This record gives sequence, C-alpha cells and structure tokens, in this order.
Amino acid sequence: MASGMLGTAITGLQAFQRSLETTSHNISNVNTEGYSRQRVDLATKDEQMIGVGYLGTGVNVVNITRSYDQFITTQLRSSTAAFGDVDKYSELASQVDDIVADPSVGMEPAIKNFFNAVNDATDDPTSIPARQVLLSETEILSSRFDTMNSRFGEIRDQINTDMVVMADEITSFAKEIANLNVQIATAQGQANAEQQPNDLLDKRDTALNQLAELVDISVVPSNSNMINVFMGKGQILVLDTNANAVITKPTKFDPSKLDVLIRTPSGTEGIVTNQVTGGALAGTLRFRDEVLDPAQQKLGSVAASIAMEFNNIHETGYDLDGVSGDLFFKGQGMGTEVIPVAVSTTNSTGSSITVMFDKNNIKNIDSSDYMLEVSNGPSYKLTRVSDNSFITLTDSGGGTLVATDPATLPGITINSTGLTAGDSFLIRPTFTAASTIEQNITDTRKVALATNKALDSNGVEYDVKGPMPGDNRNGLLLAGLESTQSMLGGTATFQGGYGLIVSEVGVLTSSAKIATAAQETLLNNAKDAWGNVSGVNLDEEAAKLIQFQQSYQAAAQMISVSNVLFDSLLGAVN
Amino acid sequence: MRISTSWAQQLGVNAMNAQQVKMSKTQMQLSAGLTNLTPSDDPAAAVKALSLQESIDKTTQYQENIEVTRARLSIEEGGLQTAENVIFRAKELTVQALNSTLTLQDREAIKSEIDQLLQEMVGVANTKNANGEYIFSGDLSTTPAVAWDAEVGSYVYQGGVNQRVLDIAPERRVADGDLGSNIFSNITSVSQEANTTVNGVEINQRSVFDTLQSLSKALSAQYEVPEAVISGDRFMRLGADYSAPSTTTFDLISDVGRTLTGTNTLSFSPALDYSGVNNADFNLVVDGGAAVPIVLDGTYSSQQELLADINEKISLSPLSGVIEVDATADPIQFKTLSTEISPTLQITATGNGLTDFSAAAGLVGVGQIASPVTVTLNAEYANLDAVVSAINDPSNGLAAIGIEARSNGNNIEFVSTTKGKESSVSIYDEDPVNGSFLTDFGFSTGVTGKGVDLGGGVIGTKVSEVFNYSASTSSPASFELNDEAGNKQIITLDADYGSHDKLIEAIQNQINGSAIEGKIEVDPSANPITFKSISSGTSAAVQINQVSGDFLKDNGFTSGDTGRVFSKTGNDVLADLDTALDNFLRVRTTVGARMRALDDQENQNEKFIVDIQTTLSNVQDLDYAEAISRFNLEQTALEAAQQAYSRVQNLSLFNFL
Repeated sequence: MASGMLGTAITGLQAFQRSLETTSHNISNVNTEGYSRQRVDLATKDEQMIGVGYLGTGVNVVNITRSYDQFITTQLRSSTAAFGDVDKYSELASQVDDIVADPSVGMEPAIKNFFNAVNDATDDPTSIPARQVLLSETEILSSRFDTMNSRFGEIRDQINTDMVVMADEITSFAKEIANLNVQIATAQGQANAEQQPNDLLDKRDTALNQLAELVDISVVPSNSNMINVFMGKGQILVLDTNANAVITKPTKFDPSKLDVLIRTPSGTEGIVTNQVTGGALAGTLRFRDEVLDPAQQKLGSVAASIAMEFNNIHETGYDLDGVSGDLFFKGQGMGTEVIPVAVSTTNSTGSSITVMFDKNNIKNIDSSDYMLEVSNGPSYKLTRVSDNSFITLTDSGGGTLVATDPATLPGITINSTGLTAGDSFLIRPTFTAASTIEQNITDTRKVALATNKALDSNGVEYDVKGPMPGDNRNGLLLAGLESTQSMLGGTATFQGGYGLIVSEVGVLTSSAKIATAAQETLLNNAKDAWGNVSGVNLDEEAAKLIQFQQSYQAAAQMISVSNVLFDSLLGAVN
Repeated sequence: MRISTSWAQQLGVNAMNAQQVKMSKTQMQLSAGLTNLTPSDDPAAAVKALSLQESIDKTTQYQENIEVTRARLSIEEGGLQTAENVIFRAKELTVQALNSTLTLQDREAIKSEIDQLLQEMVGVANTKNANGEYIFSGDLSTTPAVAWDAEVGSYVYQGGVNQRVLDIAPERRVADGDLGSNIFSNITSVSQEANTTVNGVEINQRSVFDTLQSLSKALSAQYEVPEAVISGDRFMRLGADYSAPSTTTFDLISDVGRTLTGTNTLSFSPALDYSGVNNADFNLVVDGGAAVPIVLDGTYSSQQELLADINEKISLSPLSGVIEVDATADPIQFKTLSTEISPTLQITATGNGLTDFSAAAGLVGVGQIASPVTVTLNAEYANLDAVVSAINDPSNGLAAIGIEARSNGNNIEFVSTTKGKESSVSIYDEDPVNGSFLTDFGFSTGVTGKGVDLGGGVIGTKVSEVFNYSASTSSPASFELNDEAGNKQIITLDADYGSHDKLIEAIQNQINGSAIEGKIEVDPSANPITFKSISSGTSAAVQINQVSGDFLKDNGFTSGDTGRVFSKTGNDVLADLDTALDNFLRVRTTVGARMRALDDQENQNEKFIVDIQTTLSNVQDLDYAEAISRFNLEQTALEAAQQAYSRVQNLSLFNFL
C-alpha cells in the first residue's frame, strides 16, 4: 500500500515538476517574439482494479500544448501584410510629399521667379542686368527641375535597394520555413499527432509573420505538419521542404526599374511583379507606379511644356542684335536632341524611330509613357502605358507616323525607318525631361525680346531688319505664357500643371496615411487578440507557480507521509 | 479575458508614442505658423495656397510694372511741358517778327533765339530715361529720336516705329511713352513746304523742327522751294538683301506730265470758226490703243474757250480721265493723267483742222514721253546709305532724268533735282514685277510726288490782250520790280508789241542786264503774265509796284503785289506752332490719362493682393489660440499616458510573493 502511495506521489512530483518547468519556460520567454505560452496537459494514470474497485494510481503528463488559435494567427498574418503594404507606401509617399511642398526644392517659387525675371527684362529690354537676371533665373529653374528629378531618382534608387533587400529577405524566410518544415516533420515523426514541437511551430509562425510583413502569403497545411506557402496571387514560395528564391532584375525597357521574379531551385525564372500583393514589397511597387513615376513624369511634362512654349515664342523673336531668336531651352525632343526611346531587344535589324516634341501641339503633351507596337499590315498602335488606351497610327509617307484615331498624338512627332511587324518601342516623352532640359542661351544679348514687326501706312505688317533694342513685344508674349493655359490640352497654366502634381501626391499620401492608421488599428487588434490567446501573463504564471509549487510540496508531503507510514510499520515490526 | 504582459507594456508605449507624434506635429505647426505642413495634410488647401500665392506674386509683379511705367511717363510729361514752353516762346517771337516795321537786322536777332529754341526742342525729343534709353525713340530706344541730316537739310526722326507697352494687369497694357514721330514729326501743317506725300498719300504734315527751321530761315529771308519727293514708309535703316536670287528692279520717272505740245500759237481775231463744214477733227491714241476721234465744231473767240471745249469733248470720250488739255498753255498742250507708265501719246489727223494747231508735222505723230529709268539692286546692302549709293550709281543714269535717292533717317526718298512745281518723281514696279523693292521699302507702284510753288512770283489775273502801249494816253506804261534784298528795276513799255510773246520778250530784255537779272524773270510762256523769282535766299521774293500807265491794270496786277514775303511764312509758322502745341497738349492729356489709369490699376491690384492674402491666410495660417490649447491638451494626455505606464509596470504579482 505504501508503495502504491509512494508511486502515486512520485507521479504527482513528476507532473508538477513538468508544470513548474513549463511555467518557468513561459516566464523565460515572456519577451520572445511569437512565443505561445505552453501548458502541461495532465491526466489521471490508468486506475488499478483492486477487487473492491478501481484505485487511482496518480497523474500522467499527456502532452505539452501551446495556446494557439488558427484563426487569430491567420488574422494577424494578413493584418501584418496589409499594414506592411500601406505603411511602406505611406512612408515613401511622405518623402515625395515633403519634396513637392518644400519651398527650397519645390517648383512653384522657381517658376514664379523665372516669369518675374521675364517681366523685368520685358520692362527694360535694353537692360543687360535685367537680361542677366533672367538667365540666372532660367538656370535656377532648370536646376530646380533637375534637383527635384534627381530627388525622385534618389528615391527610385532607394526603393530599388529596398526591393533587392526585400527579395533577399523573402528568399531567406522561405528557406527558413522550408528548413523548419524539415525539422517539424522530423520531430513529428518521433511523437504522436497530438504532441507537437511547439517551439518549432512558434518559430515557423514567427517566420511566416515576418514574411507577411514583406509580402502577402497564403499558407496551406501539408503532410507531417509541414506547410506550403504561396505569395501574392498564388506564386509558390515554399513547397514542403523546397523553397523558391525571389530575385529582382531590371525591366525590359527601363534598367532603372526592377522587376520581381521567382526562381525555382531548378533555375526557372518568372516575372511576378504584377502578381505581388500585400506587404512592404507590394507597397513599394504600388508607390512606384502610383506616386513616384507619375510625379516624375508630370514634372517632366511641366518642364517640357515650359521649355517648348517658351522656345516657340522665343524663336519667332529677335535678340538685341536683331538676330532671330535661338532655342531658349535645350533638351530632349528639341533642336537636335531626341526623346529617349527604349528599344525591344527582339526588334528587327535596322528599325528605328525618332521621337521629338511637336511644337505645334505641345499643349497635348501627356505624362504617360507610350508603347509603339508594329503589327502586320503594317499597322501601328501607340498604347498609353498608364491606362492601356491606344491610338491608331498610320504612315503618312516617309516613315512619319500620324494619328488617325484619335487624331491627336500626345504632343510628340514620330518618324520611323525600317519598321517591321513585331517591333516594339517604349517612348518616354516626359520621364527624363525634367533632368535633360536646361537653358540653351548664355549670352544676355541673345534673349529675343523683340518681334521686329511693324505696320506700314497700308496697315500691312512687315518684319523690320536689324536690332530693335527697345522692342519688348516678344517679351510680353513670353511673360504672357505664365497666364496662358498651355498644359493638359489647354486647360491649365504651368503652375496649374505643377499644382496637379502637388495635389495628386498630397491626396495619395493623405489617403495612405489614413489607410495606415486604419490598418494599424486592425493590426493592433489582431496582436491584442493573439496576445490574449497566446501571450504570457506574468501574474498568471506567478499564480501557476504558486499553484504548482504547492502541489509539488503536497506531493512531496505524500512521500514524507508514506515514509512515516513505512517507518510506523517498521517500528511496529521491531 | 487575459492580457499578455509584453503586449500590455507595448500598449503603454504605443499610447505614449501616439501622444508624442501628435505633440510633435502641433509643435511643428506652431514653429512654422502653418496649418498644413505637407500637401498630404490637406491636398485641396495645398493646391489652393499654391494658386493664391501665385496670384499674389503675379499681381506684385504688375505693381512693379506700374512703378516702372509711372516713372517713365513722368519723364515724358516733363519733356512735353518743356516742349510746350518752347512753343510758347517761339510763338511770341514769331508774332514779334511779323511786325512789319522790323528790319532784316531785327529779324536776325530773333532768329538767333529761334535757333536756340530749335536746339532745345531737339534736346527734348532726345530725352533719356534712367536706363539711358531715348524715351521718344520707341523700340529703337538706343538711338536718338531726332538727328540732323545734312543731306536732307533738316532734323529727321530716326527712332523706332512701335511704342513699348507693359502689362499692368491681366489683359491690360499701357504704353510707357509715345513715339517721337507722333509727337514732333507728324504735325498737320498749312505750310506749302509741308505739302509732302508719303507713299502717294498727301499728308500735309511737317515736323516741329522743320517749322522752327523754316521760321529761322525766313527770318534771314531764305525761302527754299521744295523739290518733289516720294518716300517709303517702312523702317529700312538697316538695308536689305537683294543678292541673287532676290534681285529686284523698279522704274523711276521724273516727268509725269507726259505732255505733247503743239508748235503754233493760234490767233482768235477773227474768231476760229469750226462750225458746219469747217469741223476740225483729230484722233488721240494712247499707248498704241484704239484711235479716239475728237471733233471740234464750235466758234471760238479765245484760247480758253477752245481749250475748254477740247477738254469737254475729251471728257465725253473713252479717254476721260486719261488725257486732258492744259487749260492755259499756248501753244496747245496735251497731258496724260494716268499714273501708269504710258510710253506714248499719239495724235493723228483724220481730216482737216489740225494744221491750225501745228506746223506741218506738228502734233501729228508720236509724242515724246519721258522714259523711265530702271534701277536694279542685286547685292546685299548693310544699311540704307549703301542702298542709296547703289541707286545713285551713275551707271543707273538717274541724273539724266533729274532724280536722286537719299536717306531720310529710316527710309529712302526719291527727290527731284529740280525744284518747284515743275519737278516730279514717280516710281513704278516693272511689269512683270521683278523682286520686292517697292513692298520692302513701303512704296506703292505708281506713286508720284510733285513739287510745289512757294509763290516766289507774282501772277497777273488777266490774260494779256493789250499789247500796244505806244499811242495810249498813259504811255509809257512803266512799273517797278523789286526783290526782297532791295534790288529793283523799272520796266518801261512804250511801243506796240503786237502779241503776248513780243510783250514778254520786251520785258525780259529790260530785265536782262539790270540789277534784278538772275533774280527775277518773266515766265516766257505763261499767260497771264508771271514774274518769277529765280533766286533763293534773301532775294527770293518779287514785288511789283505801279510807276505809270496801265500795264498793271491790263494784266490784273495790283501795285504792291508781293510774292513770297516773310508774313506768309510767319503766319504759316504761327498756325503750325498752334497745331504743334495742340499736339503736345493732346499727347500730354493721354499721358495724364495713362497715369490715372496706373493709379487706378495700382489701387485695384493693391486691394486684390490684400483680399487674396486674407484668403491665403485663412487657408494656410495657423490658428494659434486653437493650436496652443491643443498643445496643452496633448501635453496633459502624454503625461497621463506616462503615469499610466509607470503605474501599470508596478503592478506585478511577484511583488507580493
């Protein structure tokens, strides 16, 4: 009898020791990220038939489980992905937001000062200092355009670095998860299905969560407690013990932009840029497509509009020496410089296009990139990349492509040679315009403020030969450009065109900030819920500690009692 | 419900973070004084603020333009005031000089002051502004508005042809001055010297400088007969490029009269009788066209009657407006009226009659008309002087037809080398048109300039009919001819001269060898009798005085008739100075109106700026009271969060074990 009691007490001692150890484990991991508190599941030992009935034989540790809720964990993961997306987007958009409004970088003061200088030079067309101020303001204007453009470029460099890092991180998380899958499957093989390697599972959940910060994932259970992980719109990342790699590569047409690819262990690569959803990676890609590229292109369109409209009038005027006006601004699409065109590597040999700004149609300049595709016929299609609307073109002779439907090209002219079906070109009228456009005139006397026009007694206008130093009429026309609605198809001034960038960036940033706040609340709710289920509460653990300590002491007391009983029995014998 | 310890701690940290973010934003708002720090704070307000700021900046620029314009107009107004004072003084002096008791020496004294006034007027016209620009030179603001042109012999306007304007508001522009040509040059004149044409249009304008200059010359008794001039009306100071393939040609003709003159003087005693069977008829042929018959069928008792009837017949024929007969000339003289180059005027006999007008071959045949001289320009000419010397090149032969080209500052003038009413200059484009000279220089084809007669002579009012002064009771008939320099000669007529020609011959014979020889002559062909001054300068005037007899009465002179004396010039100058004064006043009025408009616009702009600034302030400026109370609230909230955190951290069951 005493041995039965002793045995029972020992099972208690062992069980409570496990419980104390688990509590100790919980307390130790109170600050471990992703750690789920664990609990020792106790059950009575098999009872023993002793004739009069079944006698209990103590307690058994049947399992050590973690507090885990599948739904809450999934919730947390998707909230993490959603928050990672908007948070990254908002963080990057705020940078652009700060740039466009910054008085020391923003274009508004530069454009204004430039036109004020035009006005002052027009007031005093013979004044060399006033002309010098105009040239200086022109330099400031073009360097402002350049500065803002390079700020955008710096952000693009930064997100490219980010994307490379994120791709590496995703790859390493995928590897880690695949490794954990291996370990978990191995561990699982040593136990029954109920008994799980809690800490490994926590580690895997943590890895999944960290992965979800970068990209939205879906998790599908597999054999042996392993999982399969799919990213974005179903691209395989982890399949049991195999992990794919995520890499980045320059895009086909623009080396300054990166595509996201998935590479299988066998080396097959596939572009998944457009399939990425959720997480910081998607936030970055969305920022690039929605904020950064449009802002840079719109900035380019403002620069190109100012330069072209100014050139158009300046070229019809005459300078201080009576020489007809030169280009005031130079840059892509003007004079001899062409608009950058990215050529597909699969194009036929000898095919090329030359794209220039159309001085007669500059008000229709559009900020989007355009894709020119040649099909059989030959027929030509110009697709507006930002919304995939397209313009049908026809060769009007000599390779000059003109628009037929709709009948207007977006402020550019296209000349082609040797186009054959299958050729494609990416035309980027505005993307780099802000950086390439700069002042062309450096000699103050070459500013063409005069029109050299006069009326004779019959009211017939004629051109006056020679310098007309006091003539400011071309200057008046140039100054008038400030108020002319010469952008967006003739509906906005230059300032209005720039204001559009500010408002669009502002609206996008503002809505991103609101979305971030909302997602943060949802994430916090999910974390709260997860903490409620899985988190360690020290007070609770302290109470458990007391409880198990007391139980242990009680069980030990049982040994002492059984010893006394044994001693009593021995004493009775002696 | 249970709380994870680490999460509970995180919650406290989150609460403090949130409060600190809010406080930091309020703090930045306070330090910037702006409600919105980045466009994303309020995109609509950000764009609105941009466009409001742009409006303010633009209007501020307009205010600067107004300042500049006002300063320039003030200078102009000062100049105009000086010019008016010059005119006032010149008028006083002119009135003084018109006093008939003044001697030539007295007038010389006045002349020297007039010369000073002329210089002062030139000084006004060449006023500069603060930037050193000539304010009356329009868009050629680095060139003096007027300069002495030795070739033309007067001050010529050489400024630009457009006035500069400045923006003072959207869609509102104001000229910051006036063209010197409109102020000083194009002044309507009553003077005969002003009888100039520009591009064929008679403008009767003269510059105030020319007015003062002619006054100055008249004061020293110099009267110059102007020559025929045609000038272009485009700004061509910097020449033109006619190098191949732009070679251009044009034609110049000096004699647009294109007359055909008979050889016989007709006698009307007895009267010519062409009535009935005596009809006289002849054909007129212009340019080898159809012969137009003219039939004379009346009885004519004088040359005038005959000529009037021929003109009447022509006006009823297809040649109406193409040909006329000179109303007084004797022998008969046909003229073409057309300004086209008609190389020939032909008169042919069809029956009888013509022999009366003409000797045997007389009018029958082709009349000689002045041939055009064709000028070819085929090089690049750097300036007007180069064009002028190319045209005047002897190889062109302009001297043969008495025309020369000269520059008048901004354009070219074709001038007759002869003076007076006989001079004429015409310009034509060749047919077919070759090159663009006429268009470039602002001529129209067929433009003709004619000289004027300054009246340097006295003309009788009657056609001579009395030729016999031998037996008359009043014989001899004698009269005195004077020039203004005091040269005089008494002409005595005491014979029967028999005809107009003989009478004139007798008079001329007496002039020859006298003190007035080379000064005064009797027109050998004019009827009524005309005495002309053939000199210039101090003696360019003719006065006829009665001595005895009826010569003056017979020929319609009045004793003391004077051609061209100072009073005429003086009165013309007085009238012209009044017109000039009116012109200055008119311009000054417009300057005043512009200054008022500037004030008006300045006030409007000022108010606009204030209004916009108010709106801008509402859009972007921070409400400090609200921001400070918010800041205090946030401070309290942060302190609360911090306290809550520290309290919660102290709550641990372990503390009680």
